[in-house]
Amino acid sequence: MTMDSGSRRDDLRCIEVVDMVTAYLDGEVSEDQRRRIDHHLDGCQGCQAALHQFRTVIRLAGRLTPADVASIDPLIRDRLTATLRAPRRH
Amino acid sequence: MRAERHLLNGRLVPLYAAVFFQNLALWVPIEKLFMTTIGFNPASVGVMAAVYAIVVPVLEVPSGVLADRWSRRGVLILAAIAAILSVLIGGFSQSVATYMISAGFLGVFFALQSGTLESVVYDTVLEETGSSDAFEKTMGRVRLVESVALVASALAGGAIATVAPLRATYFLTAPLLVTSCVVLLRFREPRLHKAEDEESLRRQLGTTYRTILAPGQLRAVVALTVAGSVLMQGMLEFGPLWLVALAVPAFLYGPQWAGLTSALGLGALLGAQPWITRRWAVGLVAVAIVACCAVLALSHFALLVVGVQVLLTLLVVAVSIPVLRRLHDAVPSAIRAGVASGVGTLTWLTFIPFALAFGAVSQRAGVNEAGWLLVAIGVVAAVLIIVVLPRSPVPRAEAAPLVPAPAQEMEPIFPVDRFLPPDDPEWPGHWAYPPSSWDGLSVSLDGAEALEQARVAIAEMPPTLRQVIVLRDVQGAMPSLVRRSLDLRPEEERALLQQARGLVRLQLEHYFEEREGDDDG
Repeated sequence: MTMDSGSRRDDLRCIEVVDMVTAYLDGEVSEDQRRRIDHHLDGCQGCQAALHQFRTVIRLAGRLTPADVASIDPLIRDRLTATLRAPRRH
Repeated sequence: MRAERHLLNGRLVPLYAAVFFQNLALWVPIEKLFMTTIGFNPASVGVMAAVYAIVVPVLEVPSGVLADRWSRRGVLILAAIAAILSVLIGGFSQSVATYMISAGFLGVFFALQSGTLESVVYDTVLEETGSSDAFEKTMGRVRLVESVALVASALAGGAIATVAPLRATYFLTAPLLVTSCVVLLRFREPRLHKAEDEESLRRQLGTTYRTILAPGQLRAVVALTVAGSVLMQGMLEFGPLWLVALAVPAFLYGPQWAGLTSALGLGALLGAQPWITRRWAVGLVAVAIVACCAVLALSHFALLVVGVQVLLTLLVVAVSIPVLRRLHDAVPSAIRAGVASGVGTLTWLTFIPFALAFGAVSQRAGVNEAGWLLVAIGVVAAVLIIVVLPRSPVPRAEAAPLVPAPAQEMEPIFPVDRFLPPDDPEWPGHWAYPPSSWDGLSVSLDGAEALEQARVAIAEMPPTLRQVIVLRDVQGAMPSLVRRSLDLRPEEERALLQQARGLVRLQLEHYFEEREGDDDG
């Protein structure tokens, strides 16, 4: 159990907080929800870790390119350029 | 950034040089003339073009697999060897049959080279600069080098043909190709590519076919791409037949080919102009394309015919640039390459009967009459140009609603058993097994290994999820844009993104646990 003594039982539950993590990170929660989540995070190391892990995911994804993660790309990457070039012998 | 570009350009010098030597094809401008001297007639030219059009698409994907699993530089060298065999067999040819073999090897060259070259350039850019931003500019340079080499060899080939036997142009091309092999050995190839798994290829191809064949504006874009490619291929493959029919002297073949190949470069420049998609410009281009085709069906003046062929090629290439953008815009990046490949196959499938029909009509009634086939394709292209070009690029949702959001309930991003049950007397719904902090791990959170784990997780997730995370987190698109283009409600988009991020998190968590376990052990 990771809840610190400051948290109240009637506050958000961890399972609810992680459900809202994307909305929270995107700034798409209401002001009231944000306050409640912030309050929860203040006292919950588990949810802090979960939030931090999601931020790591976003940061890593931001360093990739669409071509890196298109599963077929290595096989026929950017054949589009080749397609328009293809119908000529030279 | 400047230092990175400098390193990139330095690394690419051998590749530029190899591309230059591979495109110095001295025989190309006089090929059709030479072919008539060894017994070709327009019908057999058509058959040869069709044979060629079969060889290339059949070999394209296997050559891509070879390039990925073995070596891209190696495949480019094999391409040059195929070209050497092609020019030697072509130069020694005394009959239609042996020349067909030469054309077959040329098909092998083209299949090995196309795609592989673009991939090498793409991966080198990515490896040196960390992003693909410089790809278009770099690829533009490659195209420029190709264009310069083609124009130079067209003029040189025409000039050589006036003082030496036609077949000498074939033999003189061989040492240039050998030089390209030697230069390629000095190129340090990128190593970013990974092995591809067959199952994802099958799945991808399924989505690809659905995308290409789905009703909507994308169909018009695909049709226009195919029609434009057939016209361009028609000019490059059959253009010289007009010169043969009009019995023009050999030295004119060089400028004609130089005109056609420089139209490829100039057309690309023209197509990049923003005004090309304005209504007046679109109307003008559409009318001009039909008019060019009509001149080819009616005219017997060599200079006019050559001028119109160059203009037609230029216009078709110019149109292809904004069409290319619409195709890109309409297709999610995860299936972009597959769609491109599918469109390429459609182009070949269309060109084969066109080539056979063109050759047959040309043989029976003359090349002008065969020109009416061009008029027919030109009219189709013109109508599609008027339909497709003035519109804004196709929104993705309209073009590819093929990866619908899953109907079933999403998996929670943390398994339920990591939380205390709802009936827990003290802390229902709070952590039973909270995630560990990733601070202080022995593995770097921003290192190449973590990045590779994230890449694999995204590449392997279902297309629906991948589409959203690529747009949002990889490309950094705003939520509103992603929702609009994928036709998702806010809660759907958020749920898909949450799920996708959750899968990446899970992959990283497993990886970090394994690594920490290894380190402890």
